[in-house]
Amino acid sequence: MIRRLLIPLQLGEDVEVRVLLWYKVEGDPIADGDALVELETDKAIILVTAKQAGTLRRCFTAAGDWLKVGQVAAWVSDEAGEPLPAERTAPAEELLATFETT
Amino acid sequence: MSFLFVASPDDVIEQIVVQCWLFEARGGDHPGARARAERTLERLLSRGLPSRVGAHGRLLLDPYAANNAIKSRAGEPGDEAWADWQKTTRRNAVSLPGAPHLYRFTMRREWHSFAAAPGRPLVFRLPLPLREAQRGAAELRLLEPSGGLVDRRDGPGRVELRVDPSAVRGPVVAELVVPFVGGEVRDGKEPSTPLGEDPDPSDEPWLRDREGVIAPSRAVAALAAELAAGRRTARDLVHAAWDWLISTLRFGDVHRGDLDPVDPLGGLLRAPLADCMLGSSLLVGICRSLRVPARVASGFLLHPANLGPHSWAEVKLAPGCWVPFDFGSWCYCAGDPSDPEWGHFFRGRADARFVAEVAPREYTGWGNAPPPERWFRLERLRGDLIEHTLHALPDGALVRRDQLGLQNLGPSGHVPGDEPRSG
Repeated sequence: MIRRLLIPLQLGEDVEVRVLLWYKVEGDPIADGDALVELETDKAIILVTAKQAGTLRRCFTAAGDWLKVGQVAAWVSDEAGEPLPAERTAPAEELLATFETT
Repeated sequence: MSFLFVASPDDVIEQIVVQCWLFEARGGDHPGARARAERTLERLLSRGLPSRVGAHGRLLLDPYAANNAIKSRAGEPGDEAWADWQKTTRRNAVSLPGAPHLYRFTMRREWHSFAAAPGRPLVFRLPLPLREAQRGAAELRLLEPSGGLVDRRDGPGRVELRVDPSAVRGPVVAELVVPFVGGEVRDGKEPSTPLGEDPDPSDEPWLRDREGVIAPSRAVAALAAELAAGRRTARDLVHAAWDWLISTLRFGDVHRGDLDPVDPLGGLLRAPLADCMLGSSLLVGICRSLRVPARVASGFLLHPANLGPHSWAEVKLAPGCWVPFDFGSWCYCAGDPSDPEWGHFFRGRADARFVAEVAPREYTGWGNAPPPERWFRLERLRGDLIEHTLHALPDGALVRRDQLGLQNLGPSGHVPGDEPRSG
């Protein structure tokens, strides 16, 4: 199954975040509890941690890029070789992840 | 306006020294400056400056109320604090050369409150000049915990330190020295964009109706429409808006808890009191409500007696032409835009500055030491350095301490390492 890493509404309706640092690259396996990516706002840093295992298949953003709430940051698949959707906005299950603001 | 009794008389006296007599204090007469500040505080108290007796019989004051009482439009010409505050601000205003000069900026920053996710390095930020072409190599030392540096990353407007949390035993302390070139920026008087013209799509970040304290406001929209009546260009509008701001609002300190939570800018019109950030945001809000791109810039004034954080507005008056408008100009004309010398001092002009941030997308950020929800600031002279401290409310706990120093190294159009090479 393909899962998408979404920027959650809980961060705030008008919030825009910048990608600070990816801890994984495309093709890397992901374990439950792995740090995936660091995001930032002008006030805080947000650490995104996977809460389920899989493989990081596609990063749609690089360090320095901006993301709005509701946008897809990445795709993760349960199995390493699963075919990917054609469109970034294609419907998919949401990856279980925590967004911890510090 | 609410009162927050969080400062000691010593805090307020030293703040008055910075506001009114810092040239004297830095010139070697700190005792004299302090004696005048003490008399000023006594006078403010005798005229009704609110205070409270706290634990152990200590007198507690609201530092913002004390500042605002001195800067009040009702300040008396015969009052030495009022008169000398204005002399000090004006002397600051003309202290910097217009032509580009090379400056060396020093910051010692202490972080007293921070937290990171378990197992992750702590992230701390210090400001750098935003435009990399204007700055030389930044020297940075992590003083506490020494040996705790995991990584350093320099970028536009900031240097980031990543620190091993297991090495941290108390406040984290770093010292930054960065040379940079700064010079005056003035409105070049290019033909201004007609009001009502569709903005360039790339200006979207500077047209947003929500950003910080900027939020949709009927009151601000109505004011903008009123100010735009009969105006033809973006420059006409922003001049009218700036004159309105200077003559209507007072410049002073505002507790953030006093802002209208739904309509912060509309609330300023009722107050009518604003600091540099709020006044700039109001000007930006007025411009944006008429689809004129505008933004808040922040950094540091380089004034010898007011070296410290500051914010101002920049408005796009023509393609590629961002022009500064600084509400701090109120301090030079005391709210009288008709003053021939000082009335329009920073309308379409800014002196040499350390520009670190241009909202909403270019910022230093706070890393793992975010600002408290409610806070207040104090400033005082420490030797040759000017100290700015940020405190959390309600307990007044110290969150961050910055000590700033500056040297003017003389005229220069080049940053260090970028000098023209011979041969």
